[in-house]
Amino acid sequence: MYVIKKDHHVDQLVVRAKKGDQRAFTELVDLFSERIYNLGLRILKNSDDAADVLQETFLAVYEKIDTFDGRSNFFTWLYRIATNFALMKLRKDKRTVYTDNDMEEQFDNPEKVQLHEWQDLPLKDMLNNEFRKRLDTAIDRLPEIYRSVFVLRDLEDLSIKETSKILNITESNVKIRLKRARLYLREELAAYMGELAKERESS
Amino acid sequence: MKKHNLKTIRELCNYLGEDLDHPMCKELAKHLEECPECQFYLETIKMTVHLFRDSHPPKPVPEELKKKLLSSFAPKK
Repeated sequence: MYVIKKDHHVDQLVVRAKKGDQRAFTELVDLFSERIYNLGLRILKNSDDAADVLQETFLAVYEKIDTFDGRSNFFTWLYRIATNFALMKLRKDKRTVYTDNDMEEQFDNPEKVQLHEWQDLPLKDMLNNEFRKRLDTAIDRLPEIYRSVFVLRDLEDLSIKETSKILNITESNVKIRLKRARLYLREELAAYMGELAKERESS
Repeated sequence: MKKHNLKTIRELCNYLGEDLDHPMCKELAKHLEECPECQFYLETIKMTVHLFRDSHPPKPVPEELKKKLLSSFAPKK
C-alpha cells in the first residue's frame, strides 16, 4: 500500500513553489506526473484523456499553489484536484450505469452469488485483451462514486482514510461502496469464468 | 449458496469493505476453516481485486507529453 508519509523534501519543494520558485515546481511535476497520469488512465481508460487530466491538474496546481495552506497533505490535495478533473471528463461520456439503489439491492445480497470452480482456470494466462475489455466494461457500469472508490482504494492502493479525504466522503461511506463495488466486480468475473469453464468442457 | 451459511456470509460481507486481510472475528475464522464454500467466496473476491490490479499496471508518462509538461513550467531564461 502507498503510505502517505511526511516527506520533507516534498514539503520544502512546496514551500519554495509557493514563493514562485519555478524550478521547485518543475521538480514537483516530475515527481508526481506518473501517478497522476495513471490515475487518469485508470478512471478514464484512455491515454488522450489521461494526458488532458495530467496537464489540467498541474496547470490548476500552478495557479492555486499559493492558496494551498500546507496543513493538509500535498499529495491528497493534488489527488483531489486530479480526481475531480477525471470525474468531470467522465460525466461527459454517455454511459449506462447502475444507480446507488441497484448497487445496494443487487450487491448487498449474498443469496445471489455465483459459485463455480475458478481454480482450474489458468488465471495468469487470462490477462489478455478480451479479458481486459470485459473488466473495463464491468467498471464502466459502476456509478461514479463506486468507480472512484474502487480505483483509489484497490487500484491506486490508497488507504480508506486517504480515499475518504480525497473524495470528501466519510470512511464508512468508502467502506460500504468499496464492498459493493468488489462484490459486483466479483460477480461479473464469476459470470465470465462460468462461460470459460463451459467452453472448456465442450471443447 | 447453502442456507446454513447465509448468516455467516452476511457477516463476512461486512468485512468486505475493509482490508481484505482484516483480522476477522474468531467465530468467522473458524467457520472459514471448515467451510470450503465460504473460503472460496472470500478467495475469489481477493482474486478479483488482484486481477483488476494486474490488468491495469502503471504505465510511464509518454516522453513527449512529459517533455511538453515540464517545459511549460520551466523557469524562463
